[in-house]
Amino acid sequence: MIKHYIKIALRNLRKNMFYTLISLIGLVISMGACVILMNYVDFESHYDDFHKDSDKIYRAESYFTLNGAVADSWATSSFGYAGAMKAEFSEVKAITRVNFNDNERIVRYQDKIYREPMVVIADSNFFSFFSFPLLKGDPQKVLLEPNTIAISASAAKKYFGDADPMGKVLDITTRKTVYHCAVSGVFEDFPPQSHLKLDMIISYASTSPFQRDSWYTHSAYTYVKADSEADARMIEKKFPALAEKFKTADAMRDKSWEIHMVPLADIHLNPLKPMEYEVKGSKQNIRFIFVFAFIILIVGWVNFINIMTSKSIERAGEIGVRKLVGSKMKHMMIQFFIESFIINFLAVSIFLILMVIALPFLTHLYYSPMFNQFWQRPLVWGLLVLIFMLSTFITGAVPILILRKVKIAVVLKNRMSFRVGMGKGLRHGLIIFQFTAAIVLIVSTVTIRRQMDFMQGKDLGVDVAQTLVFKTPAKTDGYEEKLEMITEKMKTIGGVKSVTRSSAVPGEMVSFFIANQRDNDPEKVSVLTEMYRVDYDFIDAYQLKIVKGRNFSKSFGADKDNSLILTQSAMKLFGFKNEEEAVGGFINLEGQGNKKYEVIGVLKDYHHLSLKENFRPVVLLMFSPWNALDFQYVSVKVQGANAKAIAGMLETEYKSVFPDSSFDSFFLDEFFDRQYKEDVTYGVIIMIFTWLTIFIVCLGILGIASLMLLRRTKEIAIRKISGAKPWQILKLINMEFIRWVGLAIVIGTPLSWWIMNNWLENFPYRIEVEWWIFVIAGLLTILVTGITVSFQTVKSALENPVKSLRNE
Amino acid sequence: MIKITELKKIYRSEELETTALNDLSFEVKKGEFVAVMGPSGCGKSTLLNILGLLDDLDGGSFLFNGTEVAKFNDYKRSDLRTENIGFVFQSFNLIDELTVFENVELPLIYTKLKEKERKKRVDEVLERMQLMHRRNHFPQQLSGGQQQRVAVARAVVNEPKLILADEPTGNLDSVNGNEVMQLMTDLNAQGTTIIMVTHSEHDAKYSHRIIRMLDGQVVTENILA
Ligand SMILES: Nc1ncnc2c1ncn2[C@@H]1O[C@H](COP(=O)(O)OP(=O)(O)OP(=O)(O)O)[C@@H](O)[C@H]1O
Ligand SMILES: [Mg+2]
Repeated sequence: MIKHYIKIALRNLRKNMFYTLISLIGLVISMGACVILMNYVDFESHYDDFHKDSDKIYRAESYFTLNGAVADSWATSSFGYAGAMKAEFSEVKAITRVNFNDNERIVRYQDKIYREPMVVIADSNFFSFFSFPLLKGDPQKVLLEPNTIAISASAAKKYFGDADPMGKVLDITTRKTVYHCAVSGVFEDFPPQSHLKLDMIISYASTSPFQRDSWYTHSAYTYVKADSEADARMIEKKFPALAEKFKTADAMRDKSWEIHMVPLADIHLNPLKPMEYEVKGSKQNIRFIFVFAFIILIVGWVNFINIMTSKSIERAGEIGVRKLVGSKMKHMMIQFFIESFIINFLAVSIFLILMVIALPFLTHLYYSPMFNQFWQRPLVWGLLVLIFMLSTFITGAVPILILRKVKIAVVLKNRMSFRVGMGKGLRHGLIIFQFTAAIVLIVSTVTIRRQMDFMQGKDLGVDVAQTLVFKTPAKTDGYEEKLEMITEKMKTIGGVKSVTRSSAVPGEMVSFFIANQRDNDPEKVSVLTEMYRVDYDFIDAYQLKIVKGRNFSKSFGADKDNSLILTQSAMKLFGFKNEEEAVGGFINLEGQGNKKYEVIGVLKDYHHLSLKENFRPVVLLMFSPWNALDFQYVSVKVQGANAKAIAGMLETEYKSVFPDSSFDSFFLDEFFDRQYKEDVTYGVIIMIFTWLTIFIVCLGILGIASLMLLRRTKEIAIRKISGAKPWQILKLINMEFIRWVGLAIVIGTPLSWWIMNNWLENFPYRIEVEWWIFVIAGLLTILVTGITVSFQTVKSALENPVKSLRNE
Repeated sequence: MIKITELKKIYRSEELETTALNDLSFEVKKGEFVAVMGPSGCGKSTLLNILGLLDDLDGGSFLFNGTEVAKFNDYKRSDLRTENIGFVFQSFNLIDELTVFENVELPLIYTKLKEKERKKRVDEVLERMQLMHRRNHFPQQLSGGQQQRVAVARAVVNEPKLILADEPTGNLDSVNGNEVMQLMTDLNAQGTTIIMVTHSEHDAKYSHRIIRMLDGQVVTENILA
């Protein structure tokens, strides 16, 4: 009997090639899209869960409040937290630190010099606390001794080739310090799903006492193991009292120091905080993609169900005959499940074959860690099996539900008289669902795209175009003088407009916060501002606007170590009523006692970071309080198109003065736009899958239109004989669909308006969801539907009516 | 074999009720060949559907081989039907996607017979109906008479005790019609009970007895043989 049904199923699929193809293509796309999207969702939402005890690990993130209001919140904590917490809180089972102070360092082994972006300092228990596998070295001992370092497998390859790295000494340089560290361990490159991505780890014993237990600079991640959520909350509760004992910075005294114990699993998808280095995911985007994955799967199924339902009318006769000669419910189930099994099996197979072929291209075209190890991910297989089973069940059950009610006596009398049992209402509802999904997706795609364009096109208030930036060199003798000298020399190169040094560049968190006070403020409110060290040329080179006062100038000797320029946001934070009051006002800098610094100018606010962030309160200065503000970048503004050639000349100059440093440069506009990477990716994903969904919907329309024509062949013939013109026939059929699109517009417009406004709320600078987007979405849907339907209808509208009547 | 008493069938739709069978009673003995005649709309097909356990009845009694089947549920009816009854319709009701062989085999698919045994039985029947050479054709490739012979073959393949035929020659020309009637007569001669609805006095003459109906009731019975 099974054999009989398989044979019949195959014959049926072949005979109805057109419908089989439509259903099959729809299924392949929707299943595949669902699996790929869900894989992305799964990938993004399971960061860091490969660690043993990952559910017990928390990151203590600092959180400052002033009179109950949040003053600032960072991902980092200060060096001293860990020791004190371990000693005083019984809930802390283990604790480890990763110190990001000067995490970008120039590393040298013999003639190999590279700038390494992620060189950190970690506690000796780092490798036993986390589960990052060590290829060489003992997890308990690697980071025990001073002047030792653990490096990644790829770093080992880069510096030592195939030679054994153990015991070899690397020179590790910042602008002010040099370490000589012997390699004591090699770790496997951290997996893609780790929020920490480290290249080299220096033992904590190598550092100064200040970096070990001071309560001041917040530039370490502190990870805590606690037995339960309740313990973690208890630690949070006890912390402020502990901080009272230890906090030293006079200026931060007035704030309450708190921590948030953030579960390891939440770190990747939480919103970006200051002092975070990874490319963050977005919970909201993930949620949307999750829903989207389902919608596209359902659209595929609905497509299938609609075609099946219409086809069932034709199959009623067959089912009637089968029932007549003894087929029971059981047989009907076997028959339809075999059919849906076959078509779903085909769909899954086609998807797998397509993926085998396409994956290398996909990975090449657009690198995403989610395509990495696609076949090794259990979710992919689990989901495929699950979807396959669900799909087989649904696509098999629907015709059974419809045809279950077939009355033998009735169908045998008139085969076409069988009216689909499952309500017409439901079927139309499903079609409307398809159109609604299409409209919502079109609106989303357009809106996301417009928001991206808006952010990337908006005037930042700072000029990042035509700017080549290189990073300052490693420590040498006469560092500042040499840097100044080379800056002056570069100005003379043809095509160079200006050259300027600074401690940060737009697009990068300034990441040097200190708490300052307005001089003569009776309440002594300390204000956290971002400090930005620049030189005389910076403001002009970047075309920042001075709204009041003046720029730093060589004609004022005091500027070099006594003057400040504020942005408008910083000015307001200090409590100056307006620019007039600010210019000529005085400020006390943290840790500098009562020394007065004069405000000489106020800058118009500009977007130092992406438009996803608000304006930052920035203080520009030319000196470096306690030598903490180094020049880290030299920006070279160029003219004309030969930037590449100029970069070459800059490198030659640089190498002649700093032979022991690597030359690392980038174009600032690209650097700036990388902040939008996650959102651009998101937009692209939504766009691609929107078009796929619309394609499936079109297939569905095609199928339904053709079945509708089939059922109305006679009606159309009679209408034509009675004098209807072909265009009237076209209109007749089209109107039926346009009605559904109309309903979909009514449902889809408010829905997509709501969804998109929700999404846009994440952006402080955003576009409006404008009315014409809905008009476009509606018109586009109508147009696509019209074309699809007409494509099917034209043939029967032009056909000789006598022919179709004779066939009756 | 069949005894119905005061059979009632009422079709109800939203607006109106149609009494298709009105206190109808008669009996058919094993081995009989009975023709049912009457004007269009008098309830012949309705009667046949009820006799074939394809439809419910709204009153009266229906004894099939001495068992009251009026209250049987779908499942029991289906069993009784597949074991005992074969059907032949005016519109042949073959499945277009199946070959001649597969159409005839269909009733056997739902029994426990082994594939080999099924093949033997089907081929026997096809031989008898002179359809062997058309074995692997699809219904659309056959003439009307041939299609009806396939339908008859399907009706007899599991050797039913009763055959119900609703205007079996209605769509056929006289040559093909006579051929089908001859088949019926042969089957009856081999012991199968036949109840046949027809509009043709000529066809009715093949039977032993004619039941004439009007407005859902039996008006007369003529015994021919
Ligand atoms: N499904 C149905 N719903 C409502 N009324 C029905 C239905 N089937 C038959 N009838 C009505 O029941 C009566 C008997 O119908 P039936 O089909 O039994 O007639 P018939 O004698 O077979 O006619 P014909 O010779 O034209 O085939 C008719 O009045 C018909 O209109
Ligand atoms: Mg009839």
